[in-house]
Amino acid sequence: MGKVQRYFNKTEDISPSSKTSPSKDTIVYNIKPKLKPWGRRQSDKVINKKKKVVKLPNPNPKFKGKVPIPKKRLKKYARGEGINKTGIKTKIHQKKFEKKEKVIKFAAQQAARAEVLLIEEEGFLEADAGETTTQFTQKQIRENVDITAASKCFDLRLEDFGPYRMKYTRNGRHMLLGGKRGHVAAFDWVTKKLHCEINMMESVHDVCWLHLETMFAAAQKEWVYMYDNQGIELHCIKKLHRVTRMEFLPYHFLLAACSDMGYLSWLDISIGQMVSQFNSRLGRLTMLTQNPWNAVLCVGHVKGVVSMWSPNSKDPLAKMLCHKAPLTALHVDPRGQYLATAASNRELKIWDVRKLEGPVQEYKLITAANNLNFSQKNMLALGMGNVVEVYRDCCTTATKRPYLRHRFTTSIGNLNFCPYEDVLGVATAKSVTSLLVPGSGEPNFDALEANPFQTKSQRKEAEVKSLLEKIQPELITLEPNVIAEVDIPTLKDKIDAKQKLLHVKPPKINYTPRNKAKGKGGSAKIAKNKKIVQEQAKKEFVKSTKDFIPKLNIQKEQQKESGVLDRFLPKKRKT
Amino acid sequence: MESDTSENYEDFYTEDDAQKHEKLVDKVLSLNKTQHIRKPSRTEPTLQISEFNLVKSSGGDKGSVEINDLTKSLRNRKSRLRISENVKRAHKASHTLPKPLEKPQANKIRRTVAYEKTRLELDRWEATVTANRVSTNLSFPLNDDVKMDQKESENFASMWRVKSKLAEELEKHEPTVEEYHISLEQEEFPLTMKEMLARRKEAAKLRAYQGYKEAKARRQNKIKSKKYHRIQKREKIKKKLKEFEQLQKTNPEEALKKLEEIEKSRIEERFSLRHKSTGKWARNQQIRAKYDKESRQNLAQQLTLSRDLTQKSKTNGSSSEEEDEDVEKAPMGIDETNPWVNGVKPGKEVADFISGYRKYWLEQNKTAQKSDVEKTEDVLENSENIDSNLIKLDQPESNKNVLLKKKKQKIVTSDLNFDVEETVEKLEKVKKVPQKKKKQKRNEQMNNSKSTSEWEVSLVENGEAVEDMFNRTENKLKKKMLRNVKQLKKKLVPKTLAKPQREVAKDKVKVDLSLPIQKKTPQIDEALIENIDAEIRSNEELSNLKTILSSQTKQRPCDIDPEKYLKINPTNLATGIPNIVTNEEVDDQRAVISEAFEDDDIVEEFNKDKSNESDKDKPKNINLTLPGWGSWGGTGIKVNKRKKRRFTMKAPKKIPRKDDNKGFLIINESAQNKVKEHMVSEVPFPFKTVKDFEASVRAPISNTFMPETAYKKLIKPAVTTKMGTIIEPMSKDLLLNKNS
Repeated sequence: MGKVQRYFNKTEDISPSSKTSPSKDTIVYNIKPKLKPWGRRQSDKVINKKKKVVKLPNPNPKFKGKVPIPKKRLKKYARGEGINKTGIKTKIHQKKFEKKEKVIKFAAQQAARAEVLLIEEEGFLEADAGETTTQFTQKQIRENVDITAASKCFDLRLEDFGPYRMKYTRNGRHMLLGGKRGHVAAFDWVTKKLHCEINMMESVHDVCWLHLETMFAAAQKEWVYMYDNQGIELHCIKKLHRVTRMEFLPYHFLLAACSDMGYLSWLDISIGQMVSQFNSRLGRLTMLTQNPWNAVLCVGHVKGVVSMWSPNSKDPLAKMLCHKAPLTALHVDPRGQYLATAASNRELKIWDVRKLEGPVQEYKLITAANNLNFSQKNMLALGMGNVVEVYRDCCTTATKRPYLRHRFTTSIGNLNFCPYEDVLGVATAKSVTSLLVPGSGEPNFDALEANPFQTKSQRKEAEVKSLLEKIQPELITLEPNVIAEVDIPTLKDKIDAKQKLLHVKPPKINYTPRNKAKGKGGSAKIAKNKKIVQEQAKKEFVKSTKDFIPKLNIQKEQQKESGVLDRFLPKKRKT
Repeated sequence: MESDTSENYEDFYTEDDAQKHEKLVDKVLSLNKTQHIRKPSRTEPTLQISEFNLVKSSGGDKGSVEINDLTKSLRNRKSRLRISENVKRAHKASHTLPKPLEKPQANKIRRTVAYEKTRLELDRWEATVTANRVSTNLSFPLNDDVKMDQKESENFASMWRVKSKLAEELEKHEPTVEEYHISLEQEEFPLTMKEMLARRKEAAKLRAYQGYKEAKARRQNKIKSKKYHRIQKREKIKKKLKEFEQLQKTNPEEALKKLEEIEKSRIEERFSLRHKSTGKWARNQQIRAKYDKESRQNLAQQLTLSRDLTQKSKTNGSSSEEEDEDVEKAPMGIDETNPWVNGVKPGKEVADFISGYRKYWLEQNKTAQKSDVEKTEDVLENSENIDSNLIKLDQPESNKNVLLKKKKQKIVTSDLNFDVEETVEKLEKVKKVPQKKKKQKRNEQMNNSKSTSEWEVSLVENGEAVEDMFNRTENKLKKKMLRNVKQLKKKLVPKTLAKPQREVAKDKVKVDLSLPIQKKTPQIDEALIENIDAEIRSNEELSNLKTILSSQTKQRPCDIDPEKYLKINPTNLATGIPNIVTNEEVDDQRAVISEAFEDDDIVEEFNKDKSNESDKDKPKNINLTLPGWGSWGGTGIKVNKRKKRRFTMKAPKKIPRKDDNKGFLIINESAQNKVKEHMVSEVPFPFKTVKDFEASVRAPISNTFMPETAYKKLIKPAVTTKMGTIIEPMSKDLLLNKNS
């Protein structure tokens, strides 16, 4: 049947005139078909962002904007290399981290800018030509400085309770001294205001401030006692037995102690718990210092070895053979860069304690040094017999002459630089003296960290804050930044475990179907059943392998102590 | 039972054997369950054969009715040749519609289209969504109008500023113009009491009159007398006719409009189902028509009515119109025979009206016989052209615009005084010089005026002279139309040519985005394939992990003992010699001795320590030989060397230690175990490498380490809400607003 033209199918007959090339009457529209973005991904590609930077003219030409920060200073506060954008998975996260990077950069800039506020500079003694600073006596210095500074140089004659030890608080405001024969006193050494003075009636081997000036510990004949600043006994810690030296780790709230018997112990004073106590098996321990950078204890030994300890392992983290003679003294500088050791063979060595390398400097003394102490500006004070010598720049360069020298009438018990002051406190057998050492202390203090002019309320606030920011003792390691790293060995193990599991093939299952009566089965059905059975087996296998990985981790969870009411908890499904 | 019924049927219809037979066959067929598709049969005896009712018989080409065959019925008429030619042409050009797609496929297409549409709609939001997701701080409500506040604050600041003298001077010269917007209604005075009362009265009067009219209409409607209604309608029509005639004389434009209205009513009739014999009543009549003469008549009447109402008042050239003419003639015959027709209800008045108006035209034409034959011929040609064009265009009718009407008026008024010749010449000129500027306007006009042209043309076709005035207007319109049609065509053709190019371009875009071919697998294998996929995935993960490992940050620099290369010579310090030596080291002699043997003692001991330590960590070979297995056992029997070698598990090579090259140092590598619990042992989500993760954690957040400003930025909460405000979901306005 022929096709019938329907009215809606009718096409217009194109007249011959229109078929020819467009005449003058017609308008030719040139249409450029704009390629529309198609699909999400494509659309993202199509949009080309061209950032146009329009610099507005400076409205006030007198003010040229922010002062540029010198690169060196920026580098000082920089937080290191940022994130590589390609290392982050989604674009949204990339942008988020970009923003965060910007904030970090901004923080570094802010910090660098804020350095303008650190206006104080440390001073130093300048000798004229033909003179040396060594020849300046304390008397001369005292005469030439202002009254307040001169008042910081004093001498306490304590005849009876002989050889003394002394320590400053972290803000350098308070002094604690303990005589071997039982005299313990705490006072504000700037105002000379006495907090307390006690006669312990037994030998006092060491004294140590705790986190605040309101509490201190004294290692007495048998045990360690704690007192408040009024001299009231707070605790007697019998676990700390026959302690020779004590150190307080301020960020961990740990009182570390080494004993006559070779025991090392860490006591958490915030919760009153012994974190760790064990025998170092290295004999009597008499020299103890802390590395402020990583809170590791450094102990000097008779065999010329410095051992480093954390409460987390019963073996030393590291052992350094520093001298070929018994050590007499050691100290780590407040930044945790250098370790100074002195031995009985009249040697003095400076080590790089971060890399555990060295010696950076090696000195030969005329007599062996019994005491060592670094100041905040890396001056090193040596105590030899009754002589105290202070050296400047002895770590980076080999100095030849002492910066200052002072002689006492009696032998030196210990010496400490006072933080944030140009003062060296020396405890001798019959006196406690504070000497002026210009340029030894940090001139700019961070009031939120350690404030020498702290009020009571500030102190309370600081206590709470520091308690909130307390670091757990588990984090005491040689490298304190390890917490911000990925545990690569375990990561490797995990990957290996995964790999191993995946290489196991699911077992093949031979399935022989049962012979069924005619009409019930059929070859198709049998084949189907076979497939089903095989798949089931495979699935089960995969399931079992999947459960394998978590099991490795779960084992520790199961060791948890079971409470009485645990029996009512829903039982775990056995898989 | 069935046999009984069949007998009954036989009783009823004994005369018609064929029918009986058919019934029987039907019955037999109905025994079978399967449905048989029956040939549709024509039930209604109609004179007009519609193409829609044509039946394609099952017998193939022989049985079917071809349209070409239908033309044979014309026999020796003049128009036969033309019609048959038309039919043939139509055959060639027409195409059958493609078969509709199967349902699932159609659904699929619908779904894909719907998906695309919604996706594009959602894509619009992408930018805002990502911006919100990325932003470090969102404060709700989001679209807070900030500009307002800014303006207020600007004013606020200027309030306190003391103006300088110069500024005051300037202000005097150029006072800031404040815009006051006062609505005009408020300016009107309120009505007085009297006015209000008057207005009320008027309104009441109006309402009363309305009510009275309504009541009257209701009353009249209730009158059931047909005669009364008939008379009334006739009166109405007469009235209308009179009015129309008057209008012709006084206001020809209005008359034109009236005519248009008539045309409109025809159109409405055409597309409505009235008088189409499709209603329930008509169907009943159809059933009865076989046996009842009256019903047959009724039906015929009805059909004629519809034809009357829908007939075009002219035919011109084209085949369809001829057919119309043919159709027209048939009902005329019925009309004559059937007196009943005249009384038929609603169409009648219209028909009367139309006939009246025809009469009028005839009269008018007679009077206009004076006009030249040439002109009429010209006009005829034009009209023909136009008509053909119009048919080709086949565009839907549209109401006239006000604009068009105005134009017409202008044309009419201006042309009234001109001679016909002049106008024709003018028009020709116009034809030659196309006015490019007004193309679009004209286009619109053309579209609008199309419907009017049809009836105008018909008048010309009748071959009678037309009133000059009308002619002129018609001519003008037609010419314009002609031109417009041509232009339109020209425009249309390039468009249609350009279209496929565009489509191709689109296709190109689409081609790139075709989805990757996915594996098609039977369902039985599904689980198995999943397994493989999982394996592949896990393998990928593994490889990822490997990359993570390989891109470790810390590659330990090879440890070299600096002591060997950098030997620092001890510098002698001129320290002060103490007068008093501490009690602990009194023995000078002892010191001297220790100094003498220092190397032997201390260093050796330390080295021993170190070797012990390193041995502890070293993995050792495991000997798995069992004496007595495969050989004689007992005392004093040596194990075979070969066996020993075979059964020892060899330990892996020594792992390098941190302190390997440092002779003076022992580092305990197992001491870190406690920290490991706190360390991250997996690279968390957004990071790909260990290095980047570590870099992300490198900077602290707390204000003890960060400057306060940076700290505030770092701890800014991700979401803040404004108190006491309603937080509404985002609206589409957000997409329009560029600033937000």
